[in-house]
Amino acid sequence: MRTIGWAARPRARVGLGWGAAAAVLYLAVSGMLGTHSPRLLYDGLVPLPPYRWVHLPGGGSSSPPPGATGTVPFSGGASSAAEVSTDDLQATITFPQGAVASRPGEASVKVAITPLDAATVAPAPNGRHFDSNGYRFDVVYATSGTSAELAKPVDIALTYATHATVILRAQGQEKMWTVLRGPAFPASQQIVVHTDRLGTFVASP
Amino acid sequence: MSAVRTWQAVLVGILGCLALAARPGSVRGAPLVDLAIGIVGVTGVVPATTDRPSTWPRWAAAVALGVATFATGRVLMPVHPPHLPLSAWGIGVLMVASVAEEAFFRRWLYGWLAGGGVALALVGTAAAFAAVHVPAYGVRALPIDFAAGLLFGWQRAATGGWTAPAVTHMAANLLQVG
Repeated sequence: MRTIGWAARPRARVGLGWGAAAAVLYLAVSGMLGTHSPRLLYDGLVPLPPYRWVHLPGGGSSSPPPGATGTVPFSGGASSAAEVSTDDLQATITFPQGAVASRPGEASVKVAITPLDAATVAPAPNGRHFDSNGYRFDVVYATSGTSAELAKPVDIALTYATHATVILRAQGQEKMWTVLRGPAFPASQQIVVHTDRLGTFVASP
Repeated sequence: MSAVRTWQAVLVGILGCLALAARPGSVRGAPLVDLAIGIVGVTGVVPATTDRPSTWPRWAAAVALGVATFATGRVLMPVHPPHLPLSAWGIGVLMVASVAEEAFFRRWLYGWLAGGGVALALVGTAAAFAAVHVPAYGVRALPIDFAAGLLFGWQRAATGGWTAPAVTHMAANLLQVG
């Protein structure tokens, strides 16, 4: 290590207690920001894999994006906290505990994430375009197969291809998009929104 | 202390922080920025200190506390986006970035600020560390990154070197992959 000789002064060795205090502060701050806290990562500034399109804008070919399925069990009368992601991590849904309304005779709900061409759902709103696949999120009761109701909002995280600032949601058979806003993470090209309704979601500038 | 040297350090510090903050504007250029920052961090001149070399158990304890903290945060408080979809190249870049940042903040910048006392060095490096990450992760990340910077700074102060925070930083980033 190169050093120069000015300003040398004795340094007090900092004890373990200060380290423990810093650790507690870190965990407390992270906890206070709750489920909307940013990632505990500082260097996500790395080349990301190419976006996997259902329908590549402008033509050409793209690796097909996978869907995903998962199960959220009920425990003690409430749905468990859970997360379901596609293998390419382009779409994720996070359920806080108690997010799905319980129903007698049902032990769990099944979650399905299906990638699709968002343009087949509805045209992009004026002044906007799609910068990701559409992803349809379905949650049904495992036994009856009927659509499950959300008792609490869930989080949807989408990766976008180049640039996006919002997520658009089309619910059920709706032919229009609702703008949802949430924190964006340019380093990993992802946006997270809080939503009390499911449907089809797509990222947009 | 040479006033010229001091102003040179101030200029390098400002330029270094601006370069780190600008990384999200160019994902391809970010690794080059990390490399340059790492070179400055490792080779840059710093005022001499009287830090005593850390003993192996003390170094290991500092790393263990740091890694345990980030692992606890990862397990207890899953965050969004939940994971990074990284290739082997991406993971390699991530590791280089971890070391480069720690060399810059905990060796070079800490070395300069420590002339004003440990408290100044701890808070100053943590504040700069948090600030350069705002463009990538938003203002909401500021308190988390500041607290993480304090933890890394404590490791620097407790061990007398920057390798403990570098190893911890690499581990913290790896915890986000997969």
